[in-house]
Amino acid sequence: MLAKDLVAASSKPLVLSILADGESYGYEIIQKVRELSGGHIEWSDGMLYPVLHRLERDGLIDSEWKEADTGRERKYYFLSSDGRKALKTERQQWLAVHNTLSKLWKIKPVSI
Amino acid sequence: MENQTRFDLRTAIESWRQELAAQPNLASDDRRELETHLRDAIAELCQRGLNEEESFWLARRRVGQPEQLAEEFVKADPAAVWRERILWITVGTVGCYELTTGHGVLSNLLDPFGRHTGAWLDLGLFLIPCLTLIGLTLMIRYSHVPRPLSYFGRTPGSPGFLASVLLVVLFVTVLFAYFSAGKIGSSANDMFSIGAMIAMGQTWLFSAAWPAMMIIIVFLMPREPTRNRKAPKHA
Repeated sequence: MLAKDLVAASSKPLVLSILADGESYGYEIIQKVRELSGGHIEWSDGMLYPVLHRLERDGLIDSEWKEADTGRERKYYFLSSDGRKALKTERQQWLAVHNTLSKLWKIKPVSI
Repeated sequence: MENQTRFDLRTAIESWRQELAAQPNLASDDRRELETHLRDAIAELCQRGLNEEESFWLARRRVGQPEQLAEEFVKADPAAVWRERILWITVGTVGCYELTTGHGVLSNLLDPFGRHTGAWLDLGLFLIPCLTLIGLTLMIRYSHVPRPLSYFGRTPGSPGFLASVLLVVLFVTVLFAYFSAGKIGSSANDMFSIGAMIAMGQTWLFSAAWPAMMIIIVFLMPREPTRNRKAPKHA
């Protein structure tokens, strides 16, 4: 299980990356993170929404209430053009950290 | 003897919703979003083989404590709750103006000087809308916003639209009240009645200053960053 600080810091790139693949809603985002991290990143369900709202306030994502196949309405989030730019920057920064650690731990680095 | 009460999912969700509604820092849109999340979690847990009661309690625990959620939400957007409150205060102020003015105009039109019906018409015209307003307030307080009204409550992204609608309603009422008072005044046959009607018309006009001020505040209110293009319905 990841430390709380790391979970908090990684929430922005994770949400932006998931939304880069297409629109999604809170529950689906949490499920995706749980699945991709193999259970290592465990978000408290209700705490994701303030993160989403903060990203929305910063203009990185937008939202829209839509009816799902089940007939129930959900608030879908999608990436804005500013969000795409922010994701690019986040990606460079996280890869820089990854590469530094890779060199220290003698793991093959990836191209940024 | 076995004394076991049957679990009712709808009641359990309703009770949870009340707990959320008791948090002053959670806006109605946030509560609705959390409710859709809870329902998604319950549906998934039920699919995995848990019964409704187990699914509900597990999903509820995963979503988190209402107090903690409220704290986190207010950190993300501290002004959100106030934006919603100001909208509802404005709707309430305009509603009260409509109630008092509508009451005055109708009672004067139906029975100008209370000669035929006495106090009964006044009482009826006042009590019916007043009880309706109290009922609506209680419904909103307990998160049972009627569908037509829910549209207003969930448009924090477009307060300008709401303010424009309220301004039109206010303007039409003021004009209607002023001219109807003038019309009744002109049909009165003594100076005292004419004077009373003119004074009443002026009162209706000046009373509109408060709702008008609230509408101006809504116009000037900082916009919410959200760009929801569609208002949510019930989850």
